[in-house]
Amino acid sequence: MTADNKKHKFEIANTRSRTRFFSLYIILAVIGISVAGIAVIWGAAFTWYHIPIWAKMTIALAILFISQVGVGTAMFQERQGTWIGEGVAVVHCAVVFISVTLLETTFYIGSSVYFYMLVCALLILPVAYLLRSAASIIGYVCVVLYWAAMTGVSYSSGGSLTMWILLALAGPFYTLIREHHDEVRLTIFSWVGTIAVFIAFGIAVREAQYISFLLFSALAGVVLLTGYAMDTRKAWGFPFRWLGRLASVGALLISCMPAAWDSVISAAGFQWANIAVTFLLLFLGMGIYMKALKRKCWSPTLYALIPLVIGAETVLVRNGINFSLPVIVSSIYIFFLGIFEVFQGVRFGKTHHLRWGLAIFIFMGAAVLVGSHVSPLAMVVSLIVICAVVWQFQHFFYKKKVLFFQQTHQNRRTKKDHTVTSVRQGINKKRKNHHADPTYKNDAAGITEKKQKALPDWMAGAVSREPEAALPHTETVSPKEPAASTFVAPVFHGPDQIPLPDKKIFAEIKKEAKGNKMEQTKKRSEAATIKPVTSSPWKTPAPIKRKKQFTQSPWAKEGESKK
Amino acid sequence: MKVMNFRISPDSKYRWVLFIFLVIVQFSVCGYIAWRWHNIQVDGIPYQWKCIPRLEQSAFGTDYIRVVFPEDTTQWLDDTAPRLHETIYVYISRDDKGVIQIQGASAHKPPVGEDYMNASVVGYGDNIVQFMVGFGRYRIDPAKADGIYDIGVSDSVIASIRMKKGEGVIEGIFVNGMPLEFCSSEAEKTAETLAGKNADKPAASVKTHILGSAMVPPKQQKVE
Repeated sequence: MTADNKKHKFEIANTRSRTRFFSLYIILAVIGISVAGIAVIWGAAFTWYHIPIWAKMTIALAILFISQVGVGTAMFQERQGTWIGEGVAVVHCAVVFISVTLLETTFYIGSSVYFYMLVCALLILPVAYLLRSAASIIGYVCVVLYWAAMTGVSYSSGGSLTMWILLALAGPFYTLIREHHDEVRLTIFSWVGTIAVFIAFGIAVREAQYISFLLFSALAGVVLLTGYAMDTRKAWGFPFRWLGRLASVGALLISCMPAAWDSVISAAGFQWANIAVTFLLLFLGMGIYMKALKRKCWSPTLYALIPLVIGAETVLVRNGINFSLPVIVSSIYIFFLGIFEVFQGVRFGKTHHLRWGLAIFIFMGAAVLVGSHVSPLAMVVSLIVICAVVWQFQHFFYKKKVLFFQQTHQNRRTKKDHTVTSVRQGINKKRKNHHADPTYKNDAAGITEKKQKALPDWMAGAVSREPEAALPHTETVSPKEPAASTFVAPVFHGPDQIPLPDKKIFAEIKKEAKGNKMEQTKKRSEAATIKPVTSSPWKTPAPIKRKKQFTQSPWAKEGESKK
Repeated sequence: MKVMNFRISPDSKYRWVLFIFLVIVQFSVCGYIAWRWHNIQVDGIPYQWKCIPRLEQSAFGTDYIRVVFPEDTTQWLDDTAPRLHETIYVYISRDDKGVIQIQGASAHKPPVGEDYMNASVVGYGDNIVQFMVGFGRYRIDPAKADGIYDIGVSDSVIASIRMKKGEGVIEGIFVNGMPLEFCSSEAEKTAETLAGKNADKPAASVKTHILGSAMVPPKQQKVE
């Protein structure tokens, strides 16, 4: 065993040193290739003019073709959703950009660089889907956002819609990786997607005249639902959920302020395109949530309703139907939300929710205090608080009253001893009181002593027994004891956890197997020498001849004597 | 996504069809970039426009020079003011000698039959828009680019451009009627050697020979 251990340690040390050696070689190779690549590019740049145009085009197409072959090979080897697949997809993306840049500079007509970038992004998107590469999708989203930021397309409704449509093209990737239960990529994509949506709105804010808290709340709803949908096995979406909650309440709090609605009224160019897209996103988030996770319902529903409420309020204000109702509705909603969170914390012991509920109330108080002018929020909140306090007092007194009447009623019933249950309950209570009340015990002891003195000797023994023993057992129905479970929880081991047998055991097994084989071959050869098979195995078997056994009837000899 | 029992997914059996389609599209885009450039050169309308060449400096070698067009302001034809970096359309025409005439600029394309240039807004004020066109590169041998240093204020520098559907390609740059490549020190040396060889011939005839029949520049125009 010691020799084996030494050998094993030596093997481990050997492999480690080999790995180090190879990793060093790999690092050197990477550095060397990079330097050589730079030198080649440098040299080509200085002689670029002398290379004919057809050769430049051939170079661009050749490198593109090589990367396409790489993608095809990765697909053929089923490398989708692996690190190799990711690498191949990223290299292909880089090659597409290089090829298009080569051609664009060679055949220069002055088109926008950003336009070419967008073309490249659209060309790499299918590869991201074919190889299930999250890195390529991230690259695509980054390029689209960069294009939108640099060209200012979100200024017009058409440009804004184009930006959203291009971003939405990356959406089905979520379903694809969810179907393959690729949790890590799902999480990465969800994070990147949500951040991208926020950046897109940032770009839109820069260009558009007005972006309201309505959009903010809708985005918060999207983030919240994405956070919930992300939690398939682990709580990856925890920060998303809380970020969404925070943003939703923030938006709702802003909608409680009349000054915020003043800006909505005064906005000249209202960005309905962005709002429509945001609501589409919200419904998409709702769909994903409904499909992914239906257990937790109330909390996400309440928060996801916020943008819809603010949306309806915005319609009221923009159309000049009502100006005070939105503020009042928002105030009531935020108050209800705070109560809900506190209830969650108190009833189910969720500390975070309790804190969050209290924080909502603090925010509300701060909003009332900070508001420079008289806000309906203060009025509504104070009214609700007063109503809640009055209701609580009423409820408390009513409960006390009911309890008092119930107790008196119960006392009366116990005195009359009407039913078996009440009698039993009374006896049980008495028993408990016997244990609890020492004075009663002393009294009982005194009584028994008196009785013992008065009774004759033969009865003294019976009376001197314990009161519990003297009383008959009143419990007629005894609960059945639960059967002891024989279930043993299975223990699952990974392939690495299962210990391999020793080499000696392997050798023994091999020896045994060899011996058995030898014996079998011996037996076969013996059987072959004794009886050679001459007939066909498919021949019909000869019928077995049986000896005839004649049976005699028990009445066969009857009547012989009667002759 | 299901469309009439046809599942469009990278996991379905149609993924190879999708891959082949992608390969075709990628090659087609590359081909289109080259074809468009060629098409503008062949089919585009020729214009001549006053320009100023600038030498590009970079860590890597460059095979082109930056071309700036000083006539970059015109009247804004729309009611609403343009935004910065917005893509606009500069309405153009040409006179009898082929020199470009800028008519105005708008956010909308001109009616069919009228020519235009794609440009981006650089500045706007008093109904005058300053624009920048995209085709600002001219490919030249780096060894022959030093002729730019000899260009003076009084020299007339004209770019020969081909325009089609708003896009343009610079065919050549002429300094006082002579191609920019021939203004370099290398070209002068070549001319001198050729002049030495043909010593009995007059110098003027040598210069004409260098220019070549296909590169006859436009006649001197007085550009303001």
